[in-house]
Amino acid sequence: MSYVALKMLFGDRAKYLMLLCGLTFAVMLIVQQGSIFWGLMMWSQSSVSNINVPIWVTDPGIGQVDEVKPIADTAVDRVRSVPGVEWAVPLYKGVLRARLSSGDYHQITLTGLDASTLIGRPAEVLEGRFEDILQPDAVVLDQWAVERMGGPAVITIGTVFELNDKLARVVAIAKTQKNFTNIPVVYTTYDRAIRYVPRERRTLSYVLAKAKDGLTEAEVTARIQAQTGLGAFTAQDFGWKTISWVLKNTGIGINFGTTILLGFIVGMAIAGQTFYLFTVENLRQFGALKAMGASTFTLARMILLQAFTVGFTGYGIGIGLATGFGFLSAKGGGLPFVETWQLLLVVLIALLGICASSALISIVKLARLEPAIVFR
Amino acid sequence: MPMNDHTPTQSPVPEPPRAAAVQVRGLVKSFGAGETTVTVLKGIDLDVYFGELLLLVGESGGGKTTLLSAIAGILDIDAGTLDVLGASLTQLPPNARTRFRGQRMGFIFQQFNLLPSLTAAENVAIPLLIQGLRKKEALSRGRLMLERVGLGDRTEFLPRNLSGGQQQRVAIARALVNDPQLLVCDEPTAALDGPNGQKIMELIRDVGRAPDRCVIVVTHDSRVFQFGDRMAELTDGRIVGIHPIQKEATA
Repeated sequence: MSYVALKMLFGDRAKYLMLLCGLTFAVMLIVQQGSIFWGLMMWSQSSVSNINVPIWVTDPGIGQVDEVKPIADTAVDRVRSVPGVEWAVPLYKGVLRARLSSGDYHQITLTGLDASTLIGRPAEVLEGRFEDILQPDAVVLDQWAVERMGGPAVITIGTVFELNDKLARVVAIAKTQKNFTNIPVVYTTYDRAIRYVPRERRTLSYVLAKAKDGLTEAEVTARIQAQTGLGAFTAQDFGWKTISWVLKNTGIGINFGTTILLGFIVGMAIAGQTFYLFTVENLRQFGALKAMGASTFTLARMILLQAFTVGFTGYGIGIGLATGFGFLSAKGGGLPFVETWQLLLVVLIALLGICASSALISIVKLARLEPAIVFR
Repeated sequence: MPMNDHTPTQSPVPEPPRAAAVQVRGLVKSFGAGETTVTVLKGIDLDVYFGELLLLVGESGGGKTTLLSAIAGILDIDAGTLDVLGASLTQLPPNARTRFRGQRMGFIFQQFNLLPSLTAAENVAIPLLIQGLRKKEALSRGRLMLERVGLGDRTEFLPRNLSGGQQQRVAIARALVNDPQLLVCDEPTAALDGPNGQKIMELIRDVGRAPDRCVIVVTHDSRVFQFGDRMAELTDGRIVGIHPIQKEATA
């Protein structure tokens, strides 16, 4: 009877298309909004992922990666002295204003790396050599800095600008993941970063570290915390801590959650109502099938097949449209769009829920249907 | 009730004993509850024999369709016994009754009840698909049955592209495709004009009636009385007369 069920479904083209549109819209909306939401969350912790080291050590009261709470310079040595630490290097992170030769000002995030190791440097360099950062007054910009500060016509290798009245010369352009605040990142060495910024009692933002082979990062972070009293986090934990902070302290979670919920409700309403109408309008036909010997179980299977067929079709089209949107609009990382398999799985489960609920309403109707309806 | 020249008459000669395909005894059926209860069937006794075409006639609201539904096993009864093709329908659990209907009965409806998105052959194949036959085999048998009812050249037509008479032929083919022993027909000519109704009844008589089969037709169309063997008249929930139909009068 699967054949009959599918022909009944596809035969009523108007309702089939309405069902398909409803489910496709719901899937597309949930996937698109979910992917943008997750993209934003990835951006919020991009400072962690761009630096890409296993252990972060800082003030224990820190909320998120961009909320810098400077610690004493001695922290580097204290971390190095913890058993199980392979290496530990300083990192400066702070916000400054860059003044271009045109007189324009741009807010930038200054990142100072340990000069001897350059640990925390971006993995990919688009132009120039990152090692040239060791030259006098040298800085490396990320591609977003180029974009925000006037584009390649204004910012290129050799361009000079001022940071706190001190000269900075661009020697390379690196590729990074965009951050939540969309503030350009300027890399330099730790010592030079300290010279750029106004003098403060404490200048060390983070100590970056790595566990020795054979030890887990969780073990070593626990030791660092116990021995130094500082806050130590694995990169993954620090990333989640940042995401959690953003969710708690901004309206992003509620905004996106509401949209996703609306997508679910709209999909549910359209699919449920259309499917119910589809069943009600075919009630005599279903009654005839029942009279001719089709059991309620057979009819239920037919309804479920119809519901899940249109559901999976809508799922495929919805995912395709959302992915197409992401591919076109988020090309090059310009917009936050991260489509994960976990999201697709959750959407699939939600969709199966919508289809099953819609089918259930119709099945209850059919189970109560007296086949004698066909003689009335 | 209007009667034409196919007037039922009392049989002057006692009939030889025949095997009963359907035995109804003391059948009672009511609808509603409390003060709004309406008793539609008030103790029906009826035998339908193999090899005959029985017409159920009577005024509207007299209980014809309710009796047909009960005999077909698609309506629960309140009291009485109902033996159909050797099985006590009232004793059968719902699932077994559903299977029984699918295997042993054929249905012809007033409004045809063809599935609009299925071709004629696919519609005819439905009872076989319900029984679990493979699609290819079911469609093949469906086409053969359509040839038997004169629609061999319309097997791939959708119902909307067929005339009312052709749609009812498809419905007849569907009712017969699983070779049922009991064919129940509810006003099979009501949606058709006179000549088409006559043709449909001829077809039901020719293909539906066989020595190991019986046909029950609910109708109020006096023009088709000639096709019956006997006529049971229901009035106010009771059978007020069962008469053989004099074949000489139909000639």
